[in-house]
Amino acid sequence: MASTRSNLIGGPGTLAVLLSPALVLFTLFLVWPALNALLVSMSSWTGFSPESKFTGLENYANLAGDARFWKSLKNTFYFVIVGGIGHFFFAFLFAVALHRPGFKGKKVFQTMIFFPSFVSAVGVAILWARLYDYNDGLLNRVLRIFSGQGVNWLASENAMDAIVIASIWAGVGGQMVLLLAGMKRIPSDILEAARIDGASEWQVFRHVTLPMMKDVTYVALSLWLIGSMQVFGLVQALAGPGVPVDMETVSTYQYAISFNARDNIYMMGRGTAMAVALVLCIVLMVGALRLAFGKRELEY
Amino acid sequence: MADVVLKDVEKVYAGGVKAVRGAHLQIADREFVVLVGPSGCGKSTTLRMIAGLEEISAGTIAIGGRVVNDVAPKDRDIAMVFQNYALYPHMTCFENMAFGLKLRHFPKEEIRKRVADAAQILGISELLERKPKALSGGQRQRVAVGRAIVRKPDVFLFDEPLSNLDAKLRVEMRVELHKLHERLATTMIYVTHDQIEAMTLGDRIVIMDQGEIQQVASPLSLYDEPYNRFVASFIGTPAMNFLDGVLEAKGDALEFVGDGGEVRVPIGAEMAKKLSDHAGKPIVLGIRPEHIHDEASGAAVKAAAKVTAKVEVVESLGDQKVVYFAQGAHTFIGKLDAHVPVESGRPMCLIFDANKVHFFEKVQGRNLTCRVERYEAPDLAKLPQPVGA
Repeated sequence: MASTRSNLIGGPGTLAVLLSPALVLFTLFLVWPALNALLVSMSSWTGFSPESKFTGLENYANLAGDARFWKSLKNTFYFVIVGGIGHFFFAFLFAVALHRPGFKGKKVFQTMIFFPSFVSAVGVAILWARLYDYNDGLLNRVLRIFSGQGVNWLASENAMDAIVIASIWAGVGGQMVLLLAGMKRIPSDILEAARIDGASEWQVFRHVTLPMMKDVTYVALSLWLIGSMQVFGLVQALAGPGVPVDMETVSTYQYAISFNARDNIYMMGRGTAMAVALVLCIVLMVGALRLAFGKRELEY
Repeated sequence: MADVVLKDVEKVYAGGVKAVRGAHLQIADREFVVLVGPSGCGKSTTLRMIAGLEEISAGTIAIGGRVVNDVAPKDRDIAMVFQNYALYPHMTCFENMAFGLKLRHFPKEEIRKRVADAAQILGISELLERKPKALSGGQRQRVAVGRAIVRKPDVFLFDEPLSNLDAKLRVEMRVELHKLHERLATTMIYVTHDQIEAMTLGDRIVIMDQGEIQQVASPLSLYDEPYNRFVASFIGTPAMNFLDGVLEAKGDALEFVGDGGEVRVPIGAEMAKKLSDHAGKPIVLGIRPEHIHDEASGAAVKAAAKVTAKVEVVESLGDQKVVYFAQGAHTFIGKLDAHVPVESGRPMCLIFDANKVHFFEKVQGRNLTCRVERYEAPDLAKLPQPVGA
């Protein structure tokens, strides 16, 4: 049996030949840059100068004592958590509505909700900057009709919420499509059985639909975590060239400290340390999510 | 426990497709009624309308005297067993069976007792902690039945519950469902396309075709007195043979003469009276394969019609053989004893039992010799009595 198998798929030499192109590319474009980034994060390299000094964990120690870094991390977590709640609340809401049998105009609504996903982060930011405009923005015009006064949406105390709202508008369609695909996979007779068993629509969702979408929900949440922890484009474009500290996320701070032509700050070593810290955060959070979700695949 | 009444129920899908037309049905309390028919005949749609899973387009459905047209499935006090079992894959068998009771806020002890009782009846007590994926098809179906019976509903609905089981298991489960009906004495409505399931399980059978109820009758009535040609062809294996021909008057009597003139079947006086208006008109004779005999076994047939036909194909079933005959323009099937010598390609003398033939209108297909009503009433005396009654 063993010899048949080795004849069929070849010996270790064949395996090495077949795998080597992928392994070479993986090493060249992933392992090497990752190791290099680790090295850069432990240096004083500016990003341009040929001079670079090994500084050990100094960059990391500086980060730990950098209030601006902690503020940016706090903002990032705010975006991940509040934005996540908003994204998934609306994504589930829309998915459930669109999944209901007999819903007319399903395709139209699905396209409408998904459409903003086609718009780039900068496009979304420009659109929402117009909507948020204190004097002329649509939101304030409507508010002034009802309450007589507008809101300074992009002021420091509201800025993160403004970013979250714009991000929900832009990204909810993507999550909805994922969740909807997960819902469509559930055999309809199982949902019907639950309805006959006495479940209300909410109970069907809570006790049957949601547990049966565990794998899809896990994927959607992981993608959200990975993407939102790195949020950059929307914040950068909405805030303009100099992102105020109250709106800063880890990625925008990392950018500001690594390639800041305006203030002539070039600290690639420190910026890379921030990137490594962010990757560690993401890996830990996705790992925790994986543990929390346990066994995800359902067998029928 | 409750009766179920359907009055002129219709189901029209978007695009105007009529899945069920004018369904009229009265199912007595404790009765086991089977809806049977070919794919797309509307039987499952009818069941789903009773369950509340499909809205009805017209008519009225009442369960236990209460009109339920606009009542949600959860409030109809019904339980349903699905073809694909529809067990919740993330729950254990116990949780599957207890789900409906938990939603109704039954006390934990009561839930435990009911599930244990149902599991014992169905022989699945040792499986309660397993998840559905760890069960065989037969075990899953038992859990699905268990989930239905723990709730003690007014009406049980079964949507082709045995279709996914192998032949042996299907027979076993069929017997168990029969026993379960006797034991629970609850109204059961069962959908199947398998006529054997229908004949063995049903107190009455509802035969449907193209969205219409063709006949409602006890299994024996359906077999002996099919209301029309569809029912005659649907019930019985192999299906009834149909021969085109005309009725010729022979003095006071009538004789069926098949197209080509070779098949001649004399008609008894009683039947002839019913058919007198059709003398000289085209008509279709129906005869079941088991009422076609070889010469030896046909010697005992009182009203015999001799027909000589060529043997085309012989299929052996063990105790019997199915023989395909050709006679001029006609082809028909006979079911003969396994030991009757039959040779393909050779002519054979056959005896038609003239007392067992049926005559159908050529165009409408109505059985002109049928002696029962299209909608037979339930035989209440035969229904199982509730325990303690």
